[in-house]
Amino acid sequence: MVWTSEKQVKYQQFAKHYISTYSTKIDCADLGIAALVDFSKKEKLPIRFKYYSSGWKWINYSPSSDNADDFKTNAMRMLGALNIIDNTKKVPIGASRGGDFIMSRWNNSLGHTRVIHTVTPVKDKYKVVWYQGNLPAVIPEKREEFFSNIQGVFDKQPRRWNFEQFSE
Amino acid sequence: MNSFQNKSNVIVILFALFSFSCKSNDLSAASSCVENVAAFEIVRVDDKNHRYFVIQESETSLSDKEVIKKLSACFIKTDWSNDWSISLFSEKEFAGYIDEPTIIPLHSGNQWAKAYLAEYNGSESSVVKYPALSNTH
Repeated sequence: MVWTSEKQVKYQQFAKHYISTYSTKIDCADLGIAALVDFSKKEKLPIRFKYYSSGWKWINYSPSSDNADDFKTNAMRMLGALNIIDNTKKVPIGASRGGDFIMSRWNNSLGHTRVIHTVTPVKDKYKVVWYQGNLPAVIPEKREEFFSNIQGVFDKQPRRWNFEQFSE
Repeated sequence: MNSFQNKSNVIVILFALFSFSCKSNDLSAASSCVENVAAFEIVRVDDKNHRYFVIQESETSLSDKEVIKKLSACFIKTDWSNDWSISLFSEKEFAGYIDEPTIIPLHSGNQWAKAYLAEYNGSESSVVKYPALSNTH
């Protein structure tokens, strides 16, 4: 199975429901990772995350041979907000959808992940509703703000999973 | 409404009031209990996430396992039972969430991560030392 554009649209809908109904405490990056892995498990889609450790390395999930829950636990333990930045690419705010991210990078090891639920144009601005875990972990919280008012957005744009790399 | 129904209603109302006050007292007792376990001082409470932010006034001789066991006992009979969190920081000014406006400036030099000493998790009966220094956040 591959991440077709139809699957990506389906993921957007899945992620919106997932993040708005998640009911246990979770770290901010883990909410995005959990949504992706649980969708991939359901749809039997592969995932590849890259991370840096004395060079670029990969952790892979193959639906035919790997246990999705084990992969999710491992990915949530290994990866954080800065890894999400490494595995996503910029999208314009007007094109961003549910499941996309608004990232912050506080320093070389700490960042923050906001998972977008909806983006609505309002005159010349965009109102964003997102859900976020936190550190320490919290039950995901709903937040709402004009995109231009969100402080410290990494690269000044939302980001989307680099779905192309998952099927390579 | 007959007298039996009246009495039943009164009993229900009294029971509800008693239950409410009982829970409140339990959590009040829990906070005192937590502070006594390992010389903690509660500096902030997050009711929604069942979390106490604490600093430690002096080191404890107890092992982590003993601390968790005693903390768990503090929350028995409260709404936080099996779902409590204790976040230990070195100083009160650091006691907060990673994205809060007062905390963000403290990410300079990784001060906040270094000050976030431990996370005690009641649902998993676990403790993670320096949870923000694992390079995954």
